[in-house]
Formats: sequence, structure tokens, C-alpha cells
Amino acid sequence: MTDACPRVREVPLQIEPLLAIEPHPDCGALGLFAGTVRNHHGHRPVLRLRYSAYRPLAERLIREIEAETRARFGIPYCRVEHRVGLLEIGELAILCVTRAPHRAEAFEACRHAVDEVKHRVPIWKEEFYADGTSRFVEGCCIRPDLPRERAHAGVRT
Amino acid sequence: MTITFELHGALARLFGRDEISLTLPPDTTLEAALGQLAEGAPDAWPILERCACALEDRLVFRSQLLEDGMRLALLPPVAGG
Repeated sequence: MTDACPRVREVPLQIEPLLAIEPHPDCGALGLFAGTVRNHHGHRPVLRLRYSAYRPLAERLIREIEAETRARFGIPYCRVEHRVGLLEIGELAILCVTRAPHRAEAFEACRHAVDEVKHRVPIWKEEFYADGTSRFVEGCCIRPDLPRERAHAGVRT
Repeated sequence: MTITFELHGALARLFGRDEISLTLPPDTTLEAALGQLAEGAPDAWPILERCACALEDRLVFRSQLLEDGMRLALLPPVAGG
């Protein structure tokens, strides 16, 4: 698998191929986060989700976040993939794999990359409920001309 | 000149379509174009104010001067993961 691989995918995400990418004999830790579709939002039952994305920017930003994460934590490998389309409960929505010499950096880098993708990448989540209605989940404003603290005011992620 | 906004996420639902074209005078800024878009849909202003705008894979500022034929993506607050 090369860097040309899409980070935003319409097909179900697979964990195993990401674990096999590039041997890193200097790394004793592999961090993995897998986000799956939850069957509720607060007290409200959720039947399924639809993720959509603005791909030209999403693909570039996910690659940027991977590179920033590698540099910030001094690790050789970080890969994030996000699913789009209609997802059923339990399906994989996001995967992040990090490799590091030791576990602390692998965990921290993984968490950082996932947080950044949630806050910065143009992806939207529409929840479908049992009563036949649906709603887009409130998110983070990514306007470049607003200070980040204002853009994120009142946002729960 | 004519420009086209691609509508994403909750914005597409609000307008009931995936894109919308506007006819604008030359040298219109993105800010002014968004103002015109909201004239026909005042309910959309709170979300338009929180939208980022992208030209291909770059985010642009409200001061961006628009050109005939431009296609811009309007990106409401994001909620991946």
C-alpha cells in the first residue's frame, strides 16, 4: 500500500491491511484506534449513520495530520482512514494506526491524530432515528478566519 | 459573472439541493456572495456564518475575490470520527 491510497473510503474499512504496511523493526509499539458506529446519541436510539465528505480537502488534510503527528511525536508511521456512505451499528467509521519505539508515543500520537481529524477534516455525520427522522451532528467550524476557540465554542466531540 | 456553490452536509438539506449558482457583479468577494445567498434564505445565515469555503483543496478567506465560473464548496461545521 502506498501514499496514493485513499484516506476517505466508500467501502468497509479493514484493520489487517493497515497492520501489514511497512515493517518498522525499530518500533516496539503499534497503536490502533477504531471508531465504530454507536447505537445511541445521548438517550436517543440511533439506527444507522451516513458520513459524507468534501474529498479534495479531506484527502489533503488527513495526509497533513498524519505528517504533523509523525513530526510532533517523533514516530515513523501514522495512517488514518475514514469511511463515508451509509453505515450500520458496529461498522468501522475511522481507523488510526501509529507505530513508535515505545507505547506512550504510540497511544498519544494515535489519540492526537484522531482528535485532529474530528476537528479539522470536512466530514459530516447524519444520524438516522427510529421515528424516521434524521439529523446532522453539530460539529466544529473550520473557517480559517475565525479563532479556533470561537469556532469550537459549545461543541461536544 | 456566475459562480457556483457546492452545498455539503446540513446545508444541502437546508437548501434542498447539492449546488446553487449565483449571478454576481465583477469583483464580488466571497463575503458579499454569501450575503446574497442568505437574502433568499434568511434561515440559512447562522449556518452560513459558520461555514468554511474551499476552492478545490484549499480553504479561502471571506475577502477572496470571486471570478466568473468559480466553483466553491461551502463546508458546514465538521463532525467526522
